[in-house]
Amino acid sequence: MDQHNQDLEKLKAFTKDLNINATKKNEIRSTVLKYAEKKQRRTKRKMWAITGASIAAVGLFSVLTFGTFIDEENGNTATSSEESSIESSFTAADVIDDASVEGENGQYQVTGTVPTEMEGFEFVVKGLTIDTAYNYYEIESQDGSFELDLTIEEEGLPAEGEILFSVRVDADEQSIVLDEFSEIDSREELSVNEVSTEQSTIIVEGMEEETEVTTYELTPYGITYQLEQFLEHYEVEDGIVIHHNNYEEVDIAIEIEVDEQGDLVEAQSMLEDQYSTGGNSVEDLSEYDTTLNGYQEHFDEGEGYFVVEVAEDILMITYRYPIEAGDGFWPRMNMLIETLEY
Amino acid sequence: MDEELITRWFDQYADDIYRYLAFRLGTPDVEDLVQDVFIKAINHSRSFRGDANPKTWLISIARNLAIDHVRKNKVRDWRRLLQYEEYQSPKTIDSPEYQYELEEMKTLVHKLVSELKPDYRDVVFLRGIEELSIREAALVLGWSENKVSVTYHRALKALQRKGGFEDGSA
Repeated sequence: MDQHNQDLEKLKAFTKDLNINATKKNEIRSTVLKYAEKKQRRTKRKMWAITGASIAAVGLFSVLTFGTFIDEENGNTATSSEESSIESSFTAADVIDDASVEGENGQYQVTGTVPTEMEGFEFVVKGLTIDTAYNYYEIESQDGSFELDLTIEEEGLPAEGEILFSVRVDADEQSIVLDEFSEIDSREELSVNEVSTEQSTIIVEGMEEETEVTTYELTPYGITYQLEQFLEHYEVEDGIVIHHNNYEEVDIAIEIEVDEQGDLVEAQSMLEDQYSTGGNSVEDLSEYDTTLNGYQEHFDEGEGYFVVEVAEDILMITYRYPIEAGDGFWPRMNMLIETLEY
Repeated sequence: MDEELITRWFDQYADDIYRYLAFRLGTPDVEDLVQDVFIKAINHSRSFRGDANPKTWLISIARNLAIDHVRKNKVRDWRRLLQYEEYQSPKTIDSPEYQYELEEMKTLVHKLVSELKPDYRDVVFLRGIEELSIREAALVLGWSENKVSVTYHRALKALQRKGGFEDGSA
């Protein structure tokens, strides 16, 4: 077993020894169970509260028309709906009376009444960015009425398109449009372009070195900066531009992220939280030849961050380098900070 | 969510969630957050995919709560985690070799908890300690599988830089 695996094994052993104190665990368990019971009771009460009430059959969605329900016992067939399928024994409108957006995005209420022969139905929301599973809903009210409150996390909602509320009974499935989304802000994703390359000099350990410097532009923000060729390798990953030395022998990297219309102090606090101990004090940028506002904090392990206010946005810059590479790193970092423009 | 299911999940995964939160936040005082994870799971049970692994789903909730918690309170008290370890696991073995290994382990945990970036801590815990697959870790973290691989690799390199892995095999 190599050193790497041995160390992981030790970490595992250490971590596995961490368990909740038994008494405390029982307390938490009991609280959680009580909460689950209470939650279930609340849901039932809500269903019974609407029992007997007349539910207005007002469909908000034009695609829905009330209609078809094939009563197999007496052979009567109601008016046909455009949404009904020939094979289906019900339509969405047979079950759902109303679906509405409650408050903010992601809060929906679906109400309806299911035909008496149904004990319940399965439902699922489709069109989200995350997969959702079918849930079974058992009707407990005397007249078959139900009221469902759905909460969908913001990250599950699509940028554009429809989300559907689908009802399934046996093999039949019918849907209504629960909500529609259209992309309003189609701002481009962050990318970086090389604008120009020129010869320049940097001072490393007191010695001037001839070198090649590239001007980069962050699109669509119009922010430019210069970096020396040692960090000419770059990639964009999840909205972060990473300049690095191709990870040859040592790992040196500068990561740049744009916090659109962010707050300088909040951004600084957020970055500070990403590091743990060993930080020096937070300082402004007065030691740099720049007119931009910002803060920096350096950590003893060869890591740190800058936050710089650039027009309405905040640039969050983090860096890392091995201690022994500090002399070569800082002239390059200084160049970036002092050439930042917009 | 029915009570039977949440009971089963609690009994099966409460300690896993506790370990994750303690590791992520560097303190054993995370019991309240464990409770919050299960309360949140009850409230958002509809967003649970039936075919998903409950453990990874619960860890995802725990991660979001941990991030919020750090934003609200600066948690840097890794020392208490080490003290907790001493308190919880009084060892009867007191050979010099064992003591040496224990100290070595504590040093390693100290480095990990106090110096690694949160993303690195996450990925080391999920991949290295909990041994989740790349796909499962990606689901928990909301990252691409590629990002999980790259970040795990970088996390191990970071550990190596900090002296955690001495042979450079990371």
